[in-house]
Amino acid sequence: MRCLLFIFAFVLAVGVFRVEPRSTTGNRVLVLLDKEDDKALYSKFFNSLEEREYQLTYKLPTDSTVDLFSYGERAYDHVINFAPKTKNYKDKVNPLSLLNFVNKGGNILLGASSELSETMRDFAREFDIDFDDIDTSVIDHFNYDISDDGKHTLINAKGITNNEAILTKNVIEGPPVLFRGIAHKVGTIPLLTKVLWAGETAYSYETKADQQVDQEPLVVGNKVMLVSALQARNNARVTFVGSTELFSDRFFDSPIQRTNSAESFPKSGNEDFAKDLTKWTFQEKGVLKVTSRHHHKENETEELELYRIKDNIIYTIEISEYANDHWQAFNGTDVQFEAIMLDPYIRKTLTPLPTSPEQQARKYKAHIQLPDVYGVFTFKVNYKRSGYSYIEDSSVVAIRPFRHNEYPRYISAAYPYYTGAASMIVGFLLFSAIWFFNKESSKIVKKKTS
Amino acid sequence: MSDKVSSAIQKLWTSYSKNTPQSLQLIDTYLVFILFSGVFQFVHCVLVGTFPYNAFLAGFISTVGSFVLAANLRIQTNPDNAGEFKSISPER
Repeated sequence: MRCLLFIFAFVLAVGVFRVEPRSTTGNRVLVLLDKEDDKALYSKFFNSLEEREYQLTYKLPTDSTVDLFSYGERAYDHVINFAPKTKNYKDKVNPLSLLNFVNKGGNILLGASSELSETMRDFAREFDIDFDDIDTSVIDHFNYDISDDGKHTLINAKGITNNEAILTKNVIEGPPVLFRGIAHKVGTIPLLTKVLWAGETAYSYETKADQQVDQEPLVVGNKVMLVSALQARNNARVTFVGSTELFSDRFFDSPIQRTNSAESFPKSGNEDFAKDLTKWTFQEKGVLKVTSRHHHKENETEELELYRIKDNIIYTIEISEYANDHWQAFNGTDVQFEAIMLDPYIRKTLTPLPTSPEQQARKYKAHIQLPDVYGVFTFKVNYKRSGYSYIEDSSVVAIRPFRHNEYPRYISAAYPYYTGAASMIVGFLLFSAIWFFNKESSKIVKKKTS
Repeated sequence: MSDKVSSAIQKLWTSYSKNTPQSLQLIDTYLVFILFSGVFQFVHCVLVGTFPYNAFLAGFISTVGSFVLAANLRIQTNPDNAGEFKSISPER
């Protein structure tokens, strides 16, 4: 009896103190490094991740024991790739496997450097990101930090995104981020978001001594991308950072002062920037979820599969956002409802209803009059915004035409004809009444009978 | 020219009101009323379009039918034609 109680208490304790992963995808992270010693370079970064309850596994890409998948499922939830120099990736972690990993929902944080190998460059091309050639760096002769070693490659990144789904306001307005690495060019696909880019005086070129810039650089000015983020259609996130040194301890602690500028900060913005970036990439931030949707006719509550044309219905959907380690009500105001039959017939913006702080999801509601066309429609909420996960929620309903007794009883355009026919009736009755009681016709009657 | 037409119309009107019996004049006013109603509906349809086509047909054909029946009544009750309708009783 006491043994049973003990077991029960143990199970309860384990249940209560179970560690809930902060990320909505999971907390198993695979870290790929060029060599074992690199782990010490990023000790602060990795420690902060472990404090956020991630389980980090450090491996080299040339290690044959590392495998992203196990029995067909992902063995890790996230991958941090700080191994840009390595050329021979083993098959289990080569770009094709990493691509499969993303397709299965895994998130990747890719760090590059000037020594980026062709393997990872090919991987980035899959996502429409074009890194510059090997041994090139981002150079800015007007924006480099005072602790630069003369090549003007240690720059204070100037352009930062305003998207608060990816970075918090403190980071956007805080100290600049130190960067030393390779530039990339971003493609035009709508899945990409620019996160950090260089100023107008930057360019990407080789840094050999006495190098003259005589060829056209790949990117120039504020098209020089330093950090880009991609959210795939299955909501997996891949972030491309052109500088692994951005995450290094040295940059985390370094003070910032731009040459020829009086502005100086005691600590760079790198640590907070890296924290926000990993929060977004590892699905702790900007994650949306639909918790329920309903549609019903006004004044009813039943959700029908068959509606009638020109019916008035109420459509509600509840959307929840994951922020600060719990699901809370989403704050977007531009969620739209569409009624689609090959093309949208109706598109209406849903109004968010006010919520109390304990509610986990915000309800959006709209009053809609169904279109005048019958057929099989899809009620869809297709919400795709940069930085937030994509929501595509659809329910299929049929819309039937009027029954024969549901048509309008009197057509307003036909009133002249109605009055004409009615006047015929009235005229005929009056005429026959007058005819029968007329003295002359009764005279004819009398004549006949006599 | 118009003088002649107006005097002809005047003559026609006096001859009509003197010579036709009152019952026939009654039917005639009824017929005129039906005619106006039918013409009005037809002109309305031409101007506005045939949208509630069924309603137009209903209204117009009811006028036409009433006109035809009333005209038949006039023919049968005209004393000048009494010879042709001996087989029909006054109550028809």
